[in-house]
Amino acid sequence: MSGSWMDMGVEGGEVVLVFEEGKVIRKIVEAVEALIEEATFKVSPEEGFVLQALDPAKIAMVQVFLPKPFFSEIQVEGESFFGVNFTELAKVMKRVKSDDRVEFHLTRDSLTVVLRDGFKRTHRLALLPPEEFQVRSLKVNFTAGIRMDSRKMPEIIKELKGISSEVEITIDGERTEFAARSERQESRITIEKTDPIVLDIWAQEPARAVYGLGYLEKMVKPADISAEVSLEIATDKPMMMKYSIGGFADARVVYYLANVAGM
Amino acid sequence: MSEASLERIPWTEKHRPKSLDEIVGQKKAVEAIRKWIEDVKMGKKVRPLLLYGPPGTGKTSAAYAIALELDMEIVEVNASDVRNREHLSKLLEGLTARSLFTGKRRMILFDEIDALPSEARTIASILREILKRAPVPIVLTANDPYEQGLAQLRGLTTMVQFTRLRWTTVYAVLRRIAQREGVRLPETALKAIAQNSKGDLRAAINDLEAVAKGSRELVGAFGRIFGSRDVEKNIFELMRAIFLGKNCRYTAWMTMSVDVDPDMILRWVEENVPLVYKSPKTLALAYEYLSRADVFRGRIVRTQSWRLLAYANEMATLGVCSAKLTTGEQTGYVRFSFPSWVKQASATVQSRRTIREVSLQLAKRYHVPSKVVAREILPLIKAALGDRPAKVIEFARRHGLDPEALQSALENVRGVS
Repeated sequence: MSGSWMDMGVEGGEVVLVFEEGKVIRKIVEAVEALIEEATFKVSPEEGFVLQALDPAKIAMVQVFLPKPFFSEIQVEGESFFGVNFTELAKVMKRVKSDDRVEFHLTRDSLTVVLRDGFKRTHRLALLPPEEFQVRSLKVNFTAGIRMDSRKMPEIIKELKGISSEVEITIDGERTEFAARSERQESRITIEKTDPIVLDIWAQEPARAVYGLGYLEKMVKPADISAEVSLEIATDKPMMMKYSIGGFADARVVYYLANVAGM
Repeated sequence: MSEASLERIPWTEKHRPKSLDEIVGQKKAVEAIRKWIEDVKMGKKVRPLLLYGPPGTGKTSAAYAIALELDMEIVEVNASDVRNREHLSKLLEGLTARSLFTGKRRMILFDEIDALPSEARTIASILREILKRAPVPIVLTANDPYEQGLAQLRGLTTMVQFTRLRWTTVYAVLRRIAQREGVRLPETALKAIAQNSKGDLRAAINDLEAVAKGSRELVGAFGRIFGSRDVEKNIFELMRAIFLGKNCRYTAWMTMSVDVDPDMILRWVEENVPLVYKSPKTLALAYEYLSRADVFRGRIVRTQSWRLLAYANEMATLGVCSAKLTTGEQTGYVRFSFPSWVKQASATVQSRRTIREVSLQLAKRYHVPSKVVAREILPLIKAALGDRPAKVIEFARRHGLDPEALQSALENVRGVS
């Protein structure tokens, strides 16, 4: 609201972001779209690309941080915010093949996606009024966590989704346990500290909390563009799930998810 | 910025009751709700609560107050959500989760379910589904629950009736809001809004806001002076009508629409009679009418018979106006003058007040009326103590008076001789 578009470099020229790996940016867009229809992202010379969005039910929040080195080319003069309909953007991104070079050209009121793979395809989308934000983090002291191979996470969630709509996660210093119960069935997935997929399991204090599997299912989308996922929880508190992206320092997708009320 | 955005919140939201205690005129309903809240807190299985009654009686406010008492966050489901299956399922999915930032549990509010009678069946099935899934507290509101389609819903819920508010209740709330907002409106205006609302407090508050903001914006736009100048313009118009007009009935009629109190009109006429009327005959007649008006005024003050006001008014306006017609005096334009008595009175208001205060205190001591003190004793004291401050201070001490007040009273009182 303060600082008009004029002094944000948009008038002076468009903001341009270039990604060499089409698949990565496609997955990131899909990850956001799974949770939220409309979101605002920020582009600045210092921070690169930052997105933050809270789902309408105020249960989950997603943040995407893509610092400058993540892009093969970035052109931006000042801090600018852009409101984007991610449902529309995701449809465009469906056309992106793994090796496509993807360019985002942003002006005051439009986002032009340019795809290059031997020849040029252009998709122009109207922008929404941006809602400026400041990056916020949850004031939760996470007491236990696990770092593991991210590709296993979708499998775990999928396996439990068939049994219940909720999962109870327990982490102590030695193991992490995912448990789902229905009237006639109880299923457990146990990951020991010594298992090969584990990078680390830690606990200042063992923690246990229940979360909705419907939301978790949407939060595993970045798994195949990430090597490592970190899950942190606290007893009867929200969780944080963080995917580091493609070996770029600090490139990451972070989710916060509220716990399910214990009755 | 925050002030400005606060200004944009409608008063119906800004002054929404924060707790069940603040909900007016619904004693029975509030009792029933409290019982329900107790049950929820004790973890009993409760039926959804259906709050029904005419618009603007506090149903939605009650729902939000319930959320506050239960320390929960409201998830509002409206008619369009019910139609949008996908959106609805998202909403329902999150019901058991706490709010990410506040950590609060949730309760559901189906507001105005009778707005879409055709969806009543759907709502009923959604209710059953929710109840089956999780014990989330549910509140519904409706104007008329006896609408055809709502039969199923009635069976599923505990019904609590909200009754139409009495206008006196509405009036009391309006007055409180006007006070908090610093809005000065005549009692009659508040009363009119309250009675007009037909027991719909929300409508009444909206009306109050419109009236208040309307008048405040005018004053803001044209400056304070505009407000008082408007009244003066009216009184000048009235003066012109009385002293220059040929149609005195019109003049009398105008008196009623001029926003100046009758005493003040009398003062204005009194002040301007000698300025306009020159012929002795006209002057005599005009003063005759004025004195009669004054007689009526005295009777009103003495007996409080306000119906006599009509005579006083007509004598002062129609009477004085007709004087020139009777004598045939031609009147020309003059600059009408502001009553000098009022000017003096307002200039001396402070000194008169100190004289009165000092007199009252001395009156108790000497067992005489305070008027006697002001008229007879204070001038004597002034003569005795004169301009010797030490004596004045000593006298004040002995009589338990504030020396400064005495000093200023003595300065302003007439001297002897």
